[in-house]
Amino acid sequence: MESLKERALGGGGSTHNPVVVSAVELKGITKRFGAFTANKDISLKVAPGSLHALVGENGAGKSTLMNVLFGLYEPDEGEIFIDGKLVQFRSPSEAISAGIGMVHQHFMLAEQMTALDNVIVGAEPTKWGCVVVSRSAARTKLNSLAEEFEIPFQDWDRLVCELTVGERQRLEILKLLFREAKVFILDEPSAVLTPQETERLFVNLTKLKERGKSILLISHKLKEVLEHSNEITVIRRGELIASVPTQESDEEKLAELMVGRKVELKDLGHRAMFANTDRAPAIRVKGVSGASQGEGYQDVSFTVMPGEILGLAGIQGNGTSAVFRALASPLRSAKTGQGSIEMLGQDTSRADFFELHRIGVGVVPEDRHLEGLMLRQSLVENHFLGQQNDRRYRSGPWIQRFALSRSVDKGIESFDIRPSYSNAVLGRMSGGNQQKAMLARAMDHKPKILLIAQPTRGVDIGAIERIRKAILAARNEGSAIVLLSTELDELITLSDRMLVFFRGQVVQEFPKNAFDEWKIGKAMGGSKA
Amino acid sequence: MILFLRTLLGVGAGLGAGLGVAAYVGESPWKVFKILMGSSFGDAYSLGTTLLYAVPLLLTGMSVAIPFRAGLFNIGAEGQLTIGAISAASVAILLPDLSPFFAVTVAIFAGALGGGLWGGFVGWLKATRGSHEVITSIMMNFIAAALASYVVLYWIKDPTSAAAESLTIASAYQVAPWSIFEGASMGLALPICLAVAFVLHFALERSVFGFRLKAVGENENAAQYHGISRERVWIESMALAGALAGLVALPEVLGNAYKFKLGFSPGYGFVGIAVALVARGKIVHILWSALLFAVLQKGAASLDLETEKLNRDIVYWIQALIILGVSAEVLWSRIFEWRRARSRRKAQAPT
Repeated sequence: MESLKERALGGGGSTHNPVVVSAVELKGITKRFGAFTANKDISLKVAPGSLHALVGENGAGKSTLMNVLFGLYEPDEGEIFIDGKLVQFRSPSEAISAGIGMVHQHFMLAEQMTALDNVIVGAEPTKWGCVVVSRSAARTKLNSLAEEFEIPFQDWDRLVCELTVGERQRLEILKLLFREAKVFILDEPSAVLTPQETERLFVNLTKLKERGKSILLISHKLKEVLEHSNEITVIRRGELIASVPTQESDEEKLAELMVGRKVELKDLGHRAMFANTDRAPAIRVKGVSGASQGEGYQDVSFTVMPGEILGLAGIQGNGTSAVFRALASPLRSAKTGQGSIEMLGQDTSRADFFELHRIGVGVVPEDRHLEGLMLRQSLVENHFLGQQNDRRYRSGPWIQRFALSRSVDKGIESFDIRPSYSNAVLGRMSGGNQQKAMLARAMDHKPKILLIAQPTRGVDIGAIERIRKAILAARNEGSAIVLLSTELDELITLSDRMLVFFRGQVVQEFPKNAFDEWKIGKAMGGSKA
Repeated sequence: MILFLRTLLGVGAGLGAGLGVAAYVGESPWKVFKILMGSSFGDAYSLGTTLLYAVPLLLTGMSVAIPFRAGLFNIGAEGQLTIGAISAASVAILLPDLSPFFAVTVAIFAGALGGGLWGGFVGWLKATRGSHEVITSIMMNFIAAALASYVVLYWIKDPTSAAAESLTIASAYQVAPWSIFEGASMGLALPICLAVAFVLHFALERSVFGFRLKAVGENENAAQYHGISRERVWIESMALAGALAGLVALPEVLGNAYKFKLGFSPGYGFVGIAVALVARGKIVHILWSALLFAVLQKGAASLDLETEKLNRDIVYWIQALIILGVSAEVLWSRIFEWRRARSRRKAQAPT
């Protein structure tokens, strides 16, 4: 690691390559917010026609650095060179005119405007002396760009809200090409994509590279970074830890650089599965159909044994979330037909949350902000949510604050929630700590069944490790676990068995020994492997 | 605590600005302040009459604050207290022969029940029909006023009186004022309403009921996901709000007028909104905030009499400025933020 650091520092500025001028060079960038230093003396170079990946935990300062480059923040110290020329951006529009473009994690598109208008807004080609917007000129230019960079896109007249996530992303990239960007900054572009769409994204990015564009990619996903980048820069707590050529690195080394200690993401102490054959399943779902929040599912059946993790895989909108809700919040998801849901021998198809809690079911909802937490309230208040009928925390109409906060303290300790005091307000915590708080709550009453959705969405690597370990530990103690995740990687790592959903139906079941990312991805796309 | 200090700052700024206006028109602010304080607290009688304003405001303030916890805006306290008062008066007139203790208890319950049903209906409409509580509770105010005038004019009218008022309630129902207030009509209502506030404070902060209210107010979706019925919370909180407003019957009908007078309330239900706003929905703070508004209300008449250049309208200025001062709190913190950001930018070394 020391050698990596030396290499990174040694590469900063003094040994200037006389032949190739860097497309982007950051020199000693420091950015402070009050007393907090978000970026400390960061220097890096991006060669033209290369893909430079920026990795680091949440809050490490990657986004700040990119926002400095994009002109959203002015650096307190340091210089930016574009094509060897010193520049100073006071606003994103200045960065854009210098050829820098950014695709944000949450796309900056107006849903109720057409794809074409979204691209040209702010850079409208005009005719008749700057009076009338010339959409046809824009269309011609865009079509030739799409052809040149092999990014197929035809639906210029469709509204953005009708486009798929993948299409929106391509639209964002075309938007930058239309503005003649030379440097592309992409913030977590694959977070919302399926493996197939991700693959396609990187095909597009490769084409951009081949035609001389430079790409800066922020990502959590070390695998794709290792596969597609030319150089990787690791940032930790605002400092540049290392810049390494991709071929000299591997996943384990990167994770270690990011977190600052050894991390196990894959081999989390799997052990042989329970000999389940003689035990009754903890969850038995038989022929259930229904719909919830516009997402339907038909004739779904499965069982989960104690000590088993069943993964639910599927592209968003194909039924996984609705099935999860039918299990975790039965009263709020309409079911039709004859099907039945049994947990621990009890019919739970009409159970309310307290009933589930009583028979020993713990739930981690899918959307922590919408369904999981009260963000303006403390850990104590949030810990009580869903446990209002728990005898430990209640006597008559009164809350047993003492018992409650003692239990919160225990959760803080065993899940390493930070800040580590029970009155900490959830809204000021990082996503990882919010997620840990939900997990601590769900596991508080030692449930025999755990229903867990998106346990690590938007969570940094250190927290991911802890959360995954906790899930596996619960499984090893004999809990039956249903796991819903959009991260296929996570499902593959954790599940013992996987069900793949497409258009509301289970299209394929994969046992552990048949897990294959590509095959599962295909099944998610609707074709049987 | 910091929030409380900021609120005090807002109140102070509003009061200061109001007194500034007084100075501008040529009255000594100190004199105005003295008149306000003297007329409110100068002697036992003044204190008693100030409390006669403060107690109903305490009730309506809580009536606004409690649904606010659950994310509802109760603008219907005025209608709820009207219904509560007419219910209590009607019961008292229809059942004149009860023993004193029993009579007062029955009348208090009648008031709370009438107001509670009136408020609960608003919650029920929202729960079953999705009607917005602001619209329905405003409309219910008008219905309450019309209903009350019908009842008072056609059922329990005092035939000897020219005013729109009911018969005098039987003496068993009359709650005698305490002699320490030297003739001001304030008595049992004070400890009872304080006790209600005390219980409600703990119910909100420490009970499962209070938690459910807060959960729905903070994150309706998460609350529902975790088994809390928001519909039930809506109905319960609005019914409780109505019952609190209906309790105004105790100080006003049973303790003061001994009859229902049409239009007896000087807008308690609406001032209650301001009381709850200044107190930021915390019951402990409603205690002083209700007193503050009572002082202003009380002082208005004295300002009319005792100064030459001011009339009671100055008090509405001050009330409005206090509300502005408190709600500008958001603005102030923005200003602080902005100044901090600017000084930071200035401190940056030019690169």
